[in-house]
Parts: sequence; C-alpha cells; structure tokens
Amino acid sequence: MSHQKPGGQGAGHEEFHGDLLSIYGREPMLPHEREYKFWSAHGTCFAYSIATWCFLTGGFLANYVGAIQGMVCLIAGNLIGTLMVAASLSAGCHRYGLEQIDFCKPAFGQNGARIVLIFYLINMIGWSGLILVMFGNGIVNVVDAMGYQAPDWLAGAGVALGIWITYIITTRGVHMLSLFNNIITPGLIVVVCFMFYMLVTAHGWDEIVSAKPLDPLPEAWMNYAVAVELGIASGISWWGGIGFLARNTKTRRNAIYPEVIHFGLVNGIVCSIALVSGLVIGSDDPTRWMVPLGGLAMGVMALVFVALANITSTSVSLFASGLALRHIPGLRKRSWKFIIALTCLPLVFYAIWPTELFDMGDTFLAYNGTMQAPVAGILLVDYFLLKKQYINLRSIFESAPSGQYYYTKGFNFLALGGIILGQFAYFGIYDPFTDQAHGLFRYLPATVAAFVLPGLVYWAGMKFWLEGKYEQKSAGMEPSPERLIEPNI
Amino acid sequence: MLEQEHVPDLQRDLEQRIDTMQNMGDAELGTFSRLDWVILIVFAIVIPVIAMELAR
Repeated sequence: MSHQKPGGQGAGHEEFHGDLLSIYGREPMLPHEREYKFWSAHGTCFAYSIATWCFLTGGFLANYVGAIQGMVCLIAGNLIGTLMVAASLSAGCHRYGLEQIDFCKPAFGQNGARIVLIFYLINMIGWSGLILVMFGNGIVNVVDAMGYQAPDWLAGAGVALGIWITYIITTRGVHMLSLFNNIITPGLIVVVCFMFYMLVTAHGWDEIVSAKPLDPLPEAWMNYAVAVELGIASGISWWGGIGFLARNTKTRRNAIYPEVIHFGLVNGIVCSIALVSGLVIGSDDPTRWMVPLGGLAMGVMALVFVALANITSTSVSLFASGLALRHIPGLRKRSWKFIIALTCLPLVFYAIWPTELFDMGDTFLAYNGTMQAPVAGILLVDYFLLKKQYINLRSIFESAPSGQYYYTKGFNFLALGGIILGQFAYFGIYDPFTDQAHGLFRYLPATVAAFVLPGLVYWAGMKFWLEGKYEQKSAGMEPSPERLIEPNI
Repeated sequence: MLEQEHVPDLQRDLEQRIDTMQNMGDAELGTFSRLDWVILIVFAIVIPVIAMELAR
C-alpha cells in the first residue's frame, strides 16, 4: 500500500493506491490517513463557518426582529440545527471512515442514496456558486473602496478567479486545505472581532439594541417565529459538509465538538454581526461598510480575509461534492483533477451571469434546504435507534441484491417517502415563499417538524413492519460471502 | 484511468479496509462517553431552547 502524502502527486495517475483512494475516493478512511487533529479540526471548521453566507442569513433576520431577539435566534438556532444534523452524520462517518452519501445507504438503500446524492450535489454546487459571486462582489467593493471605478465584468472575472484558486486548493488535497486554513484562521478571528468592535464603537450599544426591524410582518408573533425558523434552518444547512469533515478527523471528540462549536456558536455570532449592521447601517454586506467604518487599510484587509474565507468554504464544498461524484459508475476511477474540474463546470455559469444567478439563488436554495431536515431526521433515527450505531460496512460497498442495504431493487421506499413527507410537513406549517403560516408555527419551527415527523414515521415503519420483512428476505438468501460480489467502488 | 489489472488489488485493499474498520474497537478512535452526549445536548439543545423562550 502506498504511503504517499495527500499533497503529493497522488491526485493524478497513482490513485489506485489505497491511501489515495480513501482520500480522493470513497474507500473507508483509516485513522492514520486522517488529516485533522485538534487544532486543524477547529481551524477548518472555523474558516468554513465564516463564509459570506453568514452575512446573508444575519442580514435577512434584520427584516423581522431587533438585535437581542435576532442574536438569540441566530446563536441558539444554529446550535440546535447543527447538533440535529451532526449527531448521526458525524458519529457514523467518523466511526467507519465513510463518505457522506455512503452513510445514507443503510437508511435509503444502495440506489436510494443516489437520489439523496442528486439533491446533495445541486445544493453543494449551488451554494458554492453563490459564495463565489460574493467573492467576486468583494473584489468589486475593494476596487471601489480604493477610489477606482470597477468595470461591469469584474464580478464575473472575480468568480472565475475564485474557481481557479478553489481548483488549485481542492486538487492538492485535504492537507493543502488544512494548511490554507491554518494561515487564514488567526486573521479571520481578528477580522471578526474588529468588525464587531467597529460597529459597537461607531453606533453604540444603546442604538444597536433599540434599532427597529427593517421590514417586519404585520403579525408580531410571526416575526419571532420566522427568526427562530431561520436560525435553526441555518444550522441544518451545514448538513452537506459534516460528513466530509468528520471522516477526516482522528478522534470522535475532534469530529463533533468543533462542528457544534463553530457551525453553531461561531457561525451564530458572525451572523449576528450582519444582523446588527443590517439594523443600524442598512446593509448586511461587510464588503460595503467595512471600508467607511474601518478606514481604507483595515477595511481592505478585512475584505481580503472575508474573500479568502469564501475560498475555504467553496473548497470544502467542492471536495465533498467530488467525493460524492465517485458514486457515479463512470467517474469512480477517473483522476481527482478531472472530478474537481467537473464540479467546477457548473460554476462557470456564475462567472458569466453572476448577478442574474445570484438573484435567483436564494429562492432556489431555500427550497433545497427543506430537503436536508427530513434526511437528517431519518439518518438520526436509523443510526442510533434502528442500527444501534452498527453498520455492516461490507454491505455499503456491495451492489448485489444479497447486500443488507439492497431493500427493494436498491431503494428503501419508506425512507424516500419520508423526504416527501418532510416537504409536506414543512410547507404545511410555513411557506417561506409567501410567508403564510399555520397556527402551529408559533410553537413549532417548520424545520423541526420536517426533521421529527419523517424520523418518527420511518422508525415506526421499520421497527414494526419492514425490518422484519427484510430480515426474512436476507435469511432466505445465501449468507454474505467473504468477498464482495459486486463492489461499487 | 485505472488499469484493468489493478482491479483485484483495489478490491483486496477495499476488503482489508472494511475488515479493519469493522473490527476496530470504538476506543481506538478516541473516547466518547455518555457525559459527552450530555454536554452536547445541554450546550446545543437545552440552553438554546431556554434562551429562545426567554427572548420570546
């Protein structure tokens, strides 16, 4: 077996060596191959959590609630949402060294997990495109701040530059990503503290806490309910990156604690900066107000670090997307550079039409986000209550019908039906496109309903109906052979 | 592209990894006790829910 370092030549032709196929592919990752120890796990989660999506979420809440209620909803909601998705994914992907979509197979089935894969890729690549547009806009704002007139094409060129930098980092592996994060994380900590300091000194705490929401809904209770909903949904939206990070950590504590602390607490705090700036300045985009507030030098430095944080977030998303693409038979053995180039291809559209796609993006992604809650609920129930934290690893990589997770023609229709049920539960309680809500929304966030209801129905269905049926089916088959019959790697 | 003759090596490597990870004791991947779960649930569920109710 090769012991070549991930940052070496391995992204190319030598990928059939074991180490590299676990790093650039779906093979279970052994403990000695994992990159993240204590500090690198915290550094990566910190840098990943501070992308400009925080500023979008925080700024959106400024429409509905004031500073105190908004901060509570953002910090508390992110913590709750993050633990809801991280509990099972982090534990399972770390324990077995599994890629995230592989971890979905025990619940959704060999082929059913591919349906989750489609939503997963659309979501991850969609988010990456939006962040890169924000990276491009950041460059435009830096140029404007320095007294030049930014040309119209600059935002698109910035997206193209972002794609190129992300490609360079991602093709050089997790080790390079970790190094990059170790460099920018200290700077990011300073920038975040500086932003908060500038806001408080420029406007004063009294002005901040007494600032009125920008565009509240007519019914007072709805504003707080929407703020709670957005806070939890923001935490749930980390679903895409959890498995990738956990799989690359050496210990279970280093897998889950950094995720909860940074995606929950730190992300909530950074979102709060955008909430406050939205309330008192009227803009949630720090690339617009950092220069006027902090002066040219500090402002530009802050903008550069925020832009670099976007690159980190995009790199993690594309790395996870690349691994997920390995589920497609024709791409399993292609070079890592080819796979990452493929994930970058849809991002080119964001370079051509940055403004148009950015304007359409939030509605599209809000819809995608509703899919993650039911998937997370089903995975939690499946891993802890039904599988009791035991996964048959051989069956994950077995495509033959004798595999334990083959179910019906490769699909577990109960779990897949749970996703649809979750959509109904979500939109039955709250419709984010029209702001119409059921009375239950006052006490029950739609994301929590879309998480709990499919999980409960799935647990009851499997426990009292399907589990026994599938056990009988496996009992009637040949016992699992020592060797894989149809390995799907 | 992966050469055809490497496929048996790849499958053998995968089988070895499956056996290694399946048979590995939980303790080899770092301890994680019930106290960790209690800390996480209090930190990320109980306190946030109380804070949200107080801020309502």
